[in-house]
Amino acid sequence: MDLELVINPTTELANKTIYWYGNDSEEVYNKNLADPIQYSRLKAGGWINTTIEYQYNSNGFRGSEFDSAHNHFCVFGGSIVNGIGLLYEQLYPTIIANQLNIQCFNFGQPGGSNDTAFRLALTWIPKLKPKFVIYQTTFKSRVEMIELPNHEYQTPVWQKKPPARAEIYGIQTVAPGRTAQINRDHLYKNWVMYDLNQDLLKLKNLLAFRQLCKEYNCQLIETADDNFDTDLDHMDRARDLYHPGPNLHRQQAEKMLNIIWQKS
Amino acid sequence: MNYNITDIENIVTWQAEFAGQTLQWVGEDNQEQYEKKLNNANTRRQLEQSGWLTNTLDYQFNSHGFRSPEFDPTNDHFCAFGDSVTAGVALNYNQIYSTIIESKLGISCYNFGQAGGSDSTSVRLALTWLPKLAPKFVIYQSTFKHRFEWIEPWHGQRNPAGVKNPQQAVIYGVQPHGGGSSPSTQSDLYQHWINIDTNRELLAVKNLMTMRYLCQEMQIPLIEISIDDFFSKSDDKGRDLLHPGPKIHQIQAEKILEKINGS
Repeated sequence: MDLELVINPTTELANKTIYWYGNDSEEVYNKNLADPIQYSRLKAGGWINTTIEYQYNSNGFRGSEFDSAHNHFCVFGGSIVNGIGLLYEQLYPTIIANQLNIQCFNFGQPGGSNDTAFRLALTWIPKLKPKFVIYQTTFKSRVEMIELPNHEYQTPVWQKKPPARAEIYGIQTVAPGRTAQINRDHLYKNWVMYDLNQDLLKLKNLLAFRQLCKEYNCQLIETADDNFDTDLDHMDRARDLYHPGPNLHRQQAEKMLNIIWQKS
Repeated sequence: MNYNITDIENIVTWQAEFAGQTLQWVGEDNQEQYEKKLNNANTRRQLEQSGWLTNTLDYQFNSHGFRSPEFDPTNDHFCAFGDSVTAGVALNYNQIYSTIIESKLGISCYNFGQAGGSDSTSVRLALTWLPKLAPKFVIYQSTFKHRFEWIEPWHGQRNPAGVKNPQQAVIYGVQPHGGGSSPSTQSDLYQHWINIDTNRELLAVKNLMTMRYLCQEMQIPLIEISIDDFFSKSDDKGRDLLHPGPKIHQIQAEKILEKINGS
């Protein structure tokens, strides 16, 4: 399997630094600035005129280059792990890395699914052999299928074969476009209506993830998006006023560090 | 061990309709196709060579709809998961590789083979049954990678016995020659999925890893075999002239027994 050839949601950002991404868009930010309640939330969070750099490595992941020679751990998950709307140093994996003085290779994918996390783990854990792995599960209604890339996609020079794109079904969106369009697929709608499909896929991803870590002798620490308080009335928000804010990440880092210390 | 999947026991495949029954024909091994083959000189010769002109078959299904003795965790037993090869479509029950192993070892085989089943079906059945049965060992026969299973509302006319709120496991990607299996392969999404090797490979790995994890957690030895092991160039065929015949099953049973004795 040429898993490295699969294009992830952030692959196109390889080697780039951008200042807005996904829900954390300039348009949403300006709208929030103009709304008195949202403005007070931005102000309380310290987000007025704060610059966020989204810096992507050569593989299209947010953070440093992957180098198995470094002492490191890996983290897999969705947009919370990727840190949408947050400075890189505010993310809980970065806080953990700084506390333990080891590198963190961050595989968080905005809009990612549990399938995405497992695929990335299958691609990278055998190569990197991390000290330990954090797996943060996300919405069970999301399913990933590998499809042919969009016509607009430019094949990077390092890809020798035609790439395939990881398409995630089940991301909740009100905006028109590809995401909304694929969610209307009859087969997906049929699938998502039955909890058992979602539960079985989530469980299989988790058990397969555990087995992968066992086979590569990596300690696995499991967490979930649900462990973050995503109550929208909560004042600790990222700059997009949607994702969890820096205090929630700090709390999560403390919890995870306790688990890591207990296990070591 | 509890994996917290509510209602997983209510998921049934098309075989559930046969719970408690004994049939003479099932799926691709059906009377109409058999008679067609009898009337064709080539296929008649093949049937004759494999001894299928005189042989009759009984498909006896237990109360859960599996071609297996009733499940009883207090008996010494092992479990076999797989597709129609493990279910022994077009073979007598005593000709199936898992039954040969059962006879050699003198312990029961609980056969979860599903005609037209997928790897996802096997893993779902293992998740449902292994925690209850705790077998001595497990045989997992993986099947065609292009098949996948999704759960949908029950399609049957009447509820299978003992299942209050049945949900149907539909297998996408089965190519039926003579009826029986689900034909749900026309969806755009399925067509999308099947065209890319990576989807099939990823699902196969995920199922295998899940099965391995489950068995390791329960300290159950796992023997992994594949449908490819059964499809050689041999003329040895089941009564439907599609599935592998008794000699191939015998050879595979001996290979598996070697693995069991060597471990």
